Amino acid sequence: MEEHLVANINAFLATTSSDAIKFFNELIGVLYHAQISYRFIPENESIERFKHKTNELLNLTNCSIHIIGDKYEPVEALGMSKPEFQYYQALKHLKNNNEYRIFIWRPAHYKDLPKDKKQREFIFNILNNINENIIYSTHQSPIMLVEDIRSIMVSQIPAKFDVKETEIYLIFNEIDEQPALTIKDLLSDVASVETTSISLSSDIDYDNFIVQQIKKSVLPVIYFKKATTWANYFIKEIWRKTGGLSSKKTFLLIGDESNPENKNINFSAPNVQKIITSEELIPLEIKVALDNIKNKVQV
Amino acid sequence: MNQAIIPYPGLRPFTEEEAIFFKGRDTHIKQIITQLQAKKIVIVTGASGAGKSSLIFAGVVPNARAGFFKATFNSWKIVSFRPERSPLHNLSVNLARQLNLDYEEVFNELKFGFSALVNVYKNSDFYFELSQIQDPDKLKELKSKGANLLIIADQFEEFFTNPENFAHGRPSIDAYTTVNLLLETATIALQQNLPIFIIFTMRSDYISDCVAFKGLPEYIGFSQFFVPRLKRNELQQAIEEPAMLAGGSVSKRLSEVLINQIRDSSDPLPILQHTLHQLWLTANYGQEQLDLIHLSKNAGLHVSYLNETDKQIFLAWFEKLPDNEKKYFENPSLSNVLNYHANKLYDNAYLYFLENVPWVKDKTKITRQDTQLIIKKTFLGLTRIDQGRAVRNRITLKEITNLINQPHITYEVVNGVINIFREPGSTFIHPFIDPDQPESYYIPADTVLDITHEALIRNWRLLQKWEHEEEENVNDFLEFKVQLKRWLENNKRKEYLLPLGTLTYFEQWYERCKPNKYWIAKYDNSNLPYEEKLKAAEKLEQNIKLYLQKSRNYIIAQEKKRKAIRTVFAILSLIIILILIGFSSWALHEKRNAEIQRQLAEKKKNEAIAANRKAEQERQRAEMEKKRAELAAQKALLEKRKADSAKNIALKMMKIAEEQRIIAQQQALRALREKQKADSLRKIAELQKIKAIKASKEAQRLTLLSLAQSLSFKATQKYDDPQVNLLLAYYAYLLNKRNGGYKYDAAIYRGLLSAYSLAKNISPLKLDDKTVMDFYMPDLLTVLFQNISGKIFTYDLFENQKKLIHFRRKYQLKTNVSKSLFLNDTLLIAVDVYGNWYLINLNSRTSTVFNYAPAPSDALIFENYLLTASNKTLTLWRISNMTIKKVKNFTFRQRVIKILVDKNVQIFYVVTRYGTIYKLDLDNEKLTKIYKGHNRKLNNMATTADLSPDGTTIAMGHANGLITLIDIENQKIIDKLSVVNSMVKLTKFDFSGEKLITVCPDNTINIFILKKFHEKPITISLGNEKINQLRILPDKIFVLYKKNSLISFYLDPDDYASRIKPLIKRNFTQKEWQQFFGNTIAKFDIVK
Repeated sequence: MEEHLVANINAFLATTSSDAIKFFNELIGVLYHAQISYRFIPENESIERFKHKTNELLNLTNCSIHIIGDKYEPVEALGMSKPEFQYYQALKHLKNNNEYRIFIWRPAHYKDLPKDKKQREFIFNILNNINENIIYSTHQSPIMLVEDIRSIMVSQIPAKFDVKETEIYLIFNEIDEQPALTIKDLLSDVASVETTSISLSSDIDYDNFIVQQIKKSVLPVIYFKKATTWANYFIKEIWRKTGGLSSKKTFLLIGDESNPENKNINFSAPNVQKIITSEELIPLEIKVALDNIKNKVQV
Repeated sequence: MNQAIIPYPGLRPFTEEEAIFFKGRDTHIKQIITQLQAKKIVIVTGASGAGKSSLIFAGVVPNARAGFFKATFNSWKIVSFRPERSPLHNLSVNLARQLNLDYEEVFNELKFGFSALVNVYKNSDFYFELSQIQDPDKLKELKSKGANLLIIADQFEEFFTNPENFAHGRPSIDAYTTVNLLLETATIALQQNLPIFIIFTMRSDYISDCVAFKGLPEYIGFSQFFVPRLKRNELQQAIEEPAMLAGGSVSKRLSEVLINQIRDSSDPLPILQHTLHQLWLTANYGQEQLDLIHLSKNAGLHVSYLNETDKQIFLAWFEKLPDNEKKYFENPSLSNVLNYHANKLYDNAYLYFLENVPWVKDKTKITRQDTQLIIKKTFLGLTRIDQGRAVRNRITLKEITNLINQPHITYEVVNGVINIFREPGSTFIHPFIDPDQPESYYIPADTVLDITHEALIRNWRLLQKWEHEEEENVNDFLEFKVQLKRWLENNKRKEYLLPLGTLTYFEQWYERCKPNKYWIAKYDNSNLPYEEKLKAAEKLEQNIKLYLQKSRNYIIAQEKKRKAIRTVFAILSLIIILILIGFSSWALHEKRNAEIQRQLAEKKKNEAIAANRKAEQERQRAEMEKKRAELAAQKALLEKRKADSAKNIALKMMKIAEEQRIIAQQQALRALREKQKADSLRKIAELQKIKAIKASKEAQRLTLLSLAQSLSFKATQKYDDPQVNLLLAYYAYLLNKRNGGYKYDAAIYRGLLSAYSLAKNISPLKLDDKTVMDFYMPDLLTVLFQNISGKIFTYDLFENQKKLIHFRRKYQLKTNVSKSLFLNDTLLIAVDVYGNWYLINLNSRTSTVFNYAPAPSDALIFENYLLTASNKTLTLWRISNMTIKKVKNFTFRQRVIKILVDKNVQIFYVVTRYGTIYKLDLDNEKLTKIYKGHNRKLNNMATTADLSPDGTTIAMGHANGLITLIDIENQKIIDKLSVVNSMVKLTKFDFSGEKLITVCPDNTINIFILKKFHEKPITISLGNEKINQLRILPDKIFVLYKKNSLISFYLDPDDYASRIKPLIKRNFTQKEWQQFFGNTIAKFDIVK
């Protein structure tokens, strides 16, 4: 599964301190056998060339690997050590390229913090400024590091479905199909409506499709009349899959009051509006909810 | 955000209700579901703490209920049980509950094993056999009534760890029956494709024990899911996303630190969840972003890893911590978080007991040491060592109390003390307290307690220390038992009593361990029932005491004997000593002198030390001055902070004022939105009203149209007064017209025709006594016709007179006419029975025989030419003064059925039997195929054709009742319609080209309106009378039928209506109106 995507990893190996050279060499061997391409700057380059090459290689790669040892080893012309310089350059590169990844490896061999104060400060700086694109590892072996690199760089793209922009996205269980389609007909006069009927005997992979369609909808609506139990579990799963409270999407969970069980539906969340009402008022309530969202957007 | 939401459950597994926070496992959940769908059973294995139970209860089960697990029925019954000490009972209880059945009946049935479980399910109200159901509505109904069955055997290893289920390498009957039931159910479900699914969750270190159950190893090979460790990105999801779902967040740097640290842990997931739970609480229920500082505050990370700001905050916080807690921060690490938490609870247990246990009235008897003893004994009771592994041990509250064995420590006291470990924030001991259920605080004595997870055993250092002590105690006990046994087996002889050293060792053990019968019974690994173990233990306890006592007594006796001997020796020794003393005194004197010298030297040394001390004191004084100066600085800092605080308060007041302003604004906005909502509702209501009005109007219109149809039908009935027929037909026509009905509605037309015919007493006109072969109408009032004997007549319809056309010389028609074809009002072709063709000129009253052939199927005259079609031959003739000369023959592969010409007589078409159309270029005498027919089958063949007046379309009738309309220019079929189940005999366009008239062998004439080709046509039925010929005039058709009769019909209903109206002499009476119209519409009159 991951093999065909390994070729897409192109790593820049940052210079490391002299005490960590053996890890550097081990890593090269592992990268080679993992069929991951890599580049690094040879030892004997001038400082100017070193600076130039650093930026060049950062541009040519899609991730960088920085091995952090115990020694600082500053270079006067840089004002700091070579590893530290390259790390900051990588951070700058990251600002312009959101897809870039920075892997920091402090081998488990280094159990304590370095005695060298500058190197300690460098490590604290790294630790305290980790963001989404920076991964900090303390693995024992470079093989574990490379496994992590592979699993992070190889992104699994879920199947894309042909989903449409819509105002209302109506989801219901197949046992409530009849009344749901009546609601759809009534709403179609005043808004664009897409529907999905959940059927247990269907082959469709619902969860990815529904998540994608919800993203393209103004108001996702889960309607239920007889399928109370299903609705209770379904809203939880869908709320979870679309990011829960961190999502800005408002859901409407609307049920028919003619089924007394529907009053027992117990899921609640700030971005899930729950209404149990008579059949005739359901399209109305949906329209009102939609209008409220649209008004909020305008305001 | 709701403070009560904690998206991390702590040490315990996720429950179904917490599924919304279960992240990082979506791929595994899908894999398990796919496997279950295919194989009906999955055995989920993994290391302790891998998350097996969470994966099922918070992953698979919610997905099934939400419809993402495809099965037969729409809902699910989940039967979940743990084997514990009685697996068959536990399975029966849960199965009966889910299927609404009686427990006893279910239990008695399941005891038979094999297909018993399947039968119970199939006979319940939740299973229906759907394969025979054809009706889709019924199928849907049953699918919603039925339920799929998912059976979960959680903690499957309890089949092996509980001695009631498994002893000496063999399972109990109960255990064996349960496993047999589950495996057989899986087999049958797979064979019969039943909606039953089975899941086991089991620790992988018990896989080898599975050989004890027949068939189980095979199933493990068939369908096992080994829960993998989470990958880095999955761990990240599990850490960060639950917080996001609950409206909080986790900093990336914290995430990285946690990921790196848990990889080294033996219980990664439970430790992680517990840590995150604690951090969430420390971060004020997620109101702050979870960060490194929170981990530090839970003794999980050294303060040196924090940035400067956080470091200061932490130090200030740490300063305020009680001293006894500070010691837990000495070695911070991820596993230390759990250690710190457990120790805090242990330290605070006494205070908790005093403040939170109302059912113990007199708390004065219970000391802090007692609470610590209770906790120690409880946790020792809840754990045991099994083959070198620390495992959980389920034990009741009563059993713990017995182990403690102190009269003032009752089980109520034990309950109250351990509750601190059952609180929602701790959940170390199960069953947990539910704050919404007050009865959960006080539990009965026979309640079985359990540690939530073994991670607690491996990471709480105090418990490990107790375990170690207990292990030593148990080892010592076992050693002691060996000695005791030897003594008992040898009739308690004194040679087998314990020597002093060993006795002292075991007495210390006894003092330390205080083994009572309950403790001894706990370590009895025999198969005996508990009561018998207890009896044996009691006896053993007595023997232990006796053995120790006897050993001690024996040693004392031996000691006394030795004392007497020692006295004699003592006296002798005294004499020798006195002699020796004399010598010693002299030696002592010498020694004293040496001592004095040494003391002098010592004094000098002390003086030097005193001087040093003074200097040290000066230094310390200076140090204190420095500290005083620091204190003063701190005081100044405090003052500054106070000023800052005052400033903050002022800011806060401002903020509150601002918030209030915002609230007022929001209220105004809310009011606006309410108004908008009301407007929206009003608009919708208006829309609804308009829609309702439209619908109502439409309904009324349809009602009136339906009434028109009904009136039309009634118009065809016979009434005493013909005026009724006229009125009915006319009102039907009016209602249809006024309400937008279809103008050429067949029923309306029929009503008009019937009423008119009745009123006018219209009957067919008999042209001749003999059969009329063909007729022609040069105008509306004149009919030319030839009868079978060859005579030709004119009939004046106005005068109602027939006149024979005489010929100057009799034309030699030797026989009757077999076919007659009027070409125009002057010429006709007559064919006698021999096949002689006569061209007859009605003007010159002459005729010529010009051909001998089967009768022509069609003929056409233009200018001086004649085209005839006979069989497969088309012949062009030139006519000159009644001399006819053949110009050319065109031969076709199929029979020619029709010759068509446009109105300008420029373009000629020939239609053959297969439906093929040819264009005839007479100038070049050339035929071009312009449309290829595909009607080779007999019943498809073309039988008739006509060209539309505009020359663009050919209508073709077929033997199978089909009419096709062909676009000549594009050479393709525009439309087709099936008319009847028999041949189309004749098809003709009317003069306008808007109508197509067909005649079928069932003697019906259909009038199609081409613009509404697929609407029901006007149908005129002439009963059993064969239609011979039909001629179309501008607004009428004339039909020759009954061999010699002629009848005509208007093509347009308006024509009938306009003729009916003058015939109407009166209006409907009130009674008639009521009879025919009812209350549908108000009465209106048409005759003024």
